[in-house]
Amino acid sequence: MRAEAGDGGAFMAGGIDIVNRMKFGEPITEMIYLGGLTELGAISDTGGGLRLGSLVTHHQIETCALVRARFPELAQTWHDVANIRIRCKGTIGGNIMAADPNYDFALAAMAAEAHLDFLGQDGAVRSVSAMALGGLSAYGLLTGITLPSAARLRLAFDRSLRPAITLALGLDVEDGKVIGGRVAIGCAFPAPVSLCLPISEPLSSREAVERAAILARDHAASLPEPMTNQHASARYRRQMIEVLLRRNLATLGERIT
Amino acid sequence: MTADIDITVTINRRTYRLNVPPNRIFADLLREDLLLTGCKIGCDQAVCGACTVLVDGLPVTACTTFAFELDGTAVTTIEGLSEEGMLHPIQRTFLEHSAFQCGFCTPGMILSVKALLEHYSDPDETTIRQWLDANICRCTGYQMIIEAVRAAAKAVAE
Repeated sequence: MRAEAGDGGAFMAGGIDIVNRMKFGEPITEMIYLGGLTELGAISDTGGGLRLGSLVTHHQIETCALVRARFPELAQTWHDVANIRIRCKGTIGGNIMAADPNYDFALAAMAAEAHLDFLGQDGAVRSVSAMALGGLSAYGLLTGITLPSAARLRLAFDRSLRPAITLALGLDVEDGKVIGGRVAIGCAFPAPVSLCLPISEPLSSREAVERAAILARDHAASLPEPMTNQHASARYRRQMIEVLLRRNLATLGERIT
Repeated sequence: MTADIDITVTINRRTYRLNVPPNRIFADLLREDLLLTGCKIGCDQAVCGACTVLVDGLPVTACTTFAFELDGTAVTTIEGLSEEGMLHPIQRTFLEHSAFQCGFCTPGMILSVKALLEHYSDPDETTIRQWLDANICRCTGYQMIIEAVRAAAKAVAE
């Protein structure tokens, strides 16, 4: 159906984004409504991690007991995303596929190094790393997002400087040491941007805290040029990305046991 | 766009069978076709809350919802809140606490409060403020609204 719809075709999940895009003149001529696909609205246990159907709403992320137990930072953050009406209707799949730098779930997926499952036009399912976000519509219909095991993942979200910057941080922890990490930045670039943290050897909690400033400085310097717009200048954004990253690295680092 | 779509939707306890264009916005359908003008259009972008209606009990922005999405659902607008000529307790407490001035935001505000009280029977002020943080009022300054909601929680519980 999507192929037949051509360039003017679009999948519609919760619909909030697509309705606004149409109001602003985007020439959408065919909508493929996904609302009836209830199986895409399920949250299931993958044995440590979670599989989130692409039609899971923000409200489900906020309230689902399984999400709260596995990823409390995610549930807690999603309590503050948008407003209750949008959280009840908007879906995480639509949020990702909109590729809007001001939307939040792509950042969560990137920081967690989630995998996105796409149903292609040939009927095959492809699993793509969220870190490869960009041009995702070419893969087909997003059906689900798999978050890795909560046992080794620590997440932090910082939305305190919206709409200038949002930041999501994911650290991989093994045997009480940080072995890797990712930072995803929203609001600051034309599309969400993510980079792996340059962690070459496992860091203890104390080392992670001590190296937070260096990691944050190096990371901020390696980013492409942020946008300058009515919310903030590029220079301010780059500086504050460093500040937010340093703070969140230190805070998450302290919690590692 | 494809052909018009047949939908069946219950609005304020009355069932409608409608034939709607796929791009018909629900707020427009309510206001222009069904003359339920209590659904206000403010920002037209799901931000201000003036167009809030309840769909199966959950607050939804009618300005960013296509009419066809409502097929098979039960919708409550402000016109459907009172029963047998009696104001709903939330409407009554809004009146008693002068929780509105121009009234433009009030239908959306009251419906959001109805959904709030179904989730939290005795919400504290933080919960009330968080729930209503995207129902924008430019007249009252919110304090009287908060007081009305607290009184409504008691009235609904009785």
